[in-house]
Amino acid sequence: MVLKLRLARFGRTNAPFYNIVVAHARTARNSKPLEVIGTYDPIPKKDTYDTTGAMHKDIKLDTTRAKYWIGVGAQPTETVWRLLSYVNILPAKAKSKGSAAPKPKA
Amino acid sequence: MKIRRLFKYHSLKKQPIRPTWNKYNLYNLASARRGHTNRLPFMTFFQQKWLAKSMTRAYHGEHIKERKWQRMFSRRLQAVVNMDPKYMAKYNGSEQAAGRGSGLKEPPAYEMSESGQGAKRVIANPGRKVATPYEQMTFAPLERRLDIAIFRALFASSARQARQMVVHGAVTVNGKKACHHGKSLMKHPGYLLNPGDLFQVDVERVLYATGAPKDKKLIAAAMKAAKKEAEEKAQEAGEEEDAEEGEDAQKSTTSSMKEKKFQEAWTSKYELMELQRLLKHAKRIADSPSHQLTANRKKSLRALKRDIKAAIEQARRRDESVPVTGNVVEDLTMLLDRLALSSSEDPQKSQAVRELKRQLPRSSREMLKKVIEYNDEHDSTEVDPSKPYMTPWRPRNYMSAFAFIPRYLEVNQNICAAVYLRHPVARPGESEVPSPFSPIINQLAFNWYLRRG
Amino acid sequence: MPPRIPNTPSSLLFQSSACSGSSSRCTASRLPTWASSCSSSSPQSALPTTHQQQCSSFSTTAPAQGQSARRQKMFAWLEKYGARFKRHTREGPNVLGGIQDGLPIPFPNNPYFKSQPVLSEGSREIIYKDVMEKGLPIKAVSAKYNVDTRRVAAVIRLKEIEKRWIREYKPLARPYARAVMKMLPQTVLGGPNQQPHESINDVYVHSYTTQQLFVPVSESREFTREDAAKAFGDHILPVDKKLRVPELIEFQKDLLNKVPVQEASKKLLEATAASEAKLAKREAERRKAVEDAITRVVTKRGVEFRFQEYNSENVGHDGRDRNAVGWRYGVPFADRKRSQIKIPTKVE
Repeated sequence: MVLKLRLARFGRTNAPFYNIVVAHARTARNSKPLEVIGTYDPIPKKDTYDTTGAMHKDIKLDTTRAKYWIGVGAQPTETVWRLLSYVNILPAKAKSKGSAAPKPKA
Repeated sequence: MKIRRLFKYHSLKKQPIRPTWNKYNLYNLASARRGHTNRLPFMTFFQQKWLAKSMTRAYHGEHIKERKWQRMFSRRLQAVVNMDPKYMAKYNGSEQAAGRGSGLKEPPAYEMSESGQGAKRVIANPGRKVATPYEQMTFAPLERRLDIAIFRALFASSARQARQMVVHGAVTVNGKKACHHGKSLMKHPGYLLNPGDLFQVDVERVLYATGAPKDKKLIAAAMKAAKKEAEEKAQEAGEEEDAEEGEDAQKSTTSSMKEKKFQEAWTSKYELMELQRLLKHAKRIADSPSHQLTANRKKSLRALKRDIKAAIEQARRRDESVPVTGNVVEDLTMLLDRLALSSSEDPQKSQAVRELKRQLPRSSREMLKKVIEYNDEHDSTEVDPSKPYMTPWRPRNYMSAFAFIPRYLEVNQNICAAVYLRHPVARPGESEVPSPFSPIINQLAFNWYLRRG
Repeated sequence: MPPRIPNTPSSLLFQSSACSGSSSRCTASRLPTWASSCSSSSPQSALPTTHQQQCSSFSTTAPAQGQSARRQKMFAWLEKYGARFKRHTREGPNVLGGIQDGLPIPFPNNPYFKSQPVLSEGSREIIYKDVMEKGLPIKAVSAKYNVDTRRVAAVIRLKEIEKRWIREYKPLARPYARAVMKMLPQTVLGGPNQQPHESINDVYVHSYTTQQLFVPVSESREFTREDAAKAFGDHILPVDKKLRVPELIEFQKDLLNKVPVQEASKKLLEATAASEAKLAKREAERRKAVEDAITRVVTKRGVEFRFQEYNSENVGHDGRDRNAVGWRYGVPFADRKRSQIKIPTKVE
């Protein structure tokens, strides 16, 4: 079965919190994964004594495990790909125009 | 049918002591001197505890549900002992364990001073046996609450008012209104402050909460006069418009006009009346025999005030760091303070001291203070009818009887902010929890919440 | 219902005869004014309305008029004894319990709670200048003025905000501050007769040390504070190490050994500065370590992503370790349970 690197949504209503997990593609989103390799908090936060208003998002990631799972063929989802590309584990995906829309059948 | 009784917060019959600055409360507090303790010997232990619990809970967190307080209650009471480094440098502790384990002799409570003249008290001699009033710490956990800390810092005239300030978003903790992922407001009156937390209340709220209320009679009179005037004006205006416009538009315009006119008239009327009140007040002070200010004296004092202002100006030119507050009394005292402190170091400053002292004979200093204060009140603070409190601001009645700031807070009144330094503690002969009850009552309340026997 | 004194001439008579001497005259002259104020504007006051509500319609007894005896007593008290609390006119505290041992007692029944002096405005300025301008270590300033280290830090923090407000032309609560400071006892620092503000070497009473121990030792042995701490428990520190400014012990020892005060103070200053520098260094190192573990990436949209390196194999033997990253599987999450605290426990 296909291995996926994907997000599992936890947290609360209007306060999402994701585990970055390695799981079989056909298992349920929040079922027990093979491994949790990190977390992703998508809600931007300010620093404690910050006055500039700059926001940041917190991610915890085990980069060595992420590289390993990519190496053995785990397929990251779009979001995880984006996150991993920030730390240069994967190349950044160029945004392709039009290709996102499914092609009509011939 | 049973008739429902009105709940009286400040009941003169039961005389509960409440966390407010109310005059009823002051009376109840004063007459509780004899108190319920007389009744205690005729009660069972349970009755005693029950009475103590109900008395103390009327004051300590009366706006908090009993369950909640029960959960906060802690049987661990914090106390400190002050260790004197001088004593510790002299003794290594073995003197207390010498002999049969309790010292060869009682360590001295008094020591001869170095010069050999007179006994000097040793600050924290472990031999001094002063009891630590642990029982007075029963309600210490409540003092951690944000609303109660605001009340203790004298920013609100009652614990309930402090609570309202928090709920209405007038309070920040560590400079933050927002928390919880930057979403909800910090509007939790039950937030338990951690040591080092800085809380700050909106200045206007504090002025409103602790200031004297507006003069109701004055407001009513101003309202009445303003209404009359506004109606007359609006009528005139309405008649003029009547000729030009149709009937349907007329009604709405008159009403809005009326309102506007009323607002204007009311503001000006109120301002005028406040000024008149001030004038009266000023006259009363000037005429009052206790001040004994003759015209000549006043004149000379005014000249003195001018001189002092000039002196301060001079000092500021020399030293940039002398701040200008605009308040003559403060300026003067600060200047005197500063100059008195460092007169030996800086010849320039000592010169200024002499200058000031020459201008300020000791005999007239008190008189001068009165005049300056009097002038200050009327010069610096103006009447502002838009404020919800009486202007110029003065503290509300009976505030001074309740004015104290416990040691676990450090307050800066100018910015209405305070730091919660640490949790309240007991030390020999002293407890930091502000409680109006005697140790016996607090002890019984503690026993109630221990839930044993 | 509380007993009432009806507003009739007989009650006035009773009132005036009950009082004696000069006070009777003023009471008698005051009473009619209450009566008049009551008859003219009493529908707003609570008591008469309550009574009217509770009066049955078939009752033939006229509802009681005027104030209850308790209210009368209260107003009499407020006019006589309470008058000095109404407006604060003099300098210094003005509390119910008066002043005992030089300290005001706000609650007459609780002699253990004293209204302790607060730092005067000038004193706060002095502390601020000593630390921020002269650069003295906080511990040294604390020892110099006998002000707790935490209070010194708080004063500076608050002063900093105050100065910012002045720079920004934000209105301060000057009249309020003036009035409150007049009502409180104050410590004035920096003068020749400077009094210690508070005890700076308070040591918390550890619960282990509140019970008696029986430790047999030979009579010849010196059983010091260190030994006592060890006897109470292995992890209990001796009191010499628990002081907030432990350098003061060395200072006092120097004084006992006839070291000149100047030299001893210099040593104290150096020692406190060194200990603070050490603390600052440790804090800086901790921050650097945290910072080093974070990779910052700023996206085109301007949101910063902070990647913190983490070892995902630290999950314990069953994968459910408390320190395991993220939402844990198969572990109940009780944040919305009944006895859980649902409001923030800290604000950073």
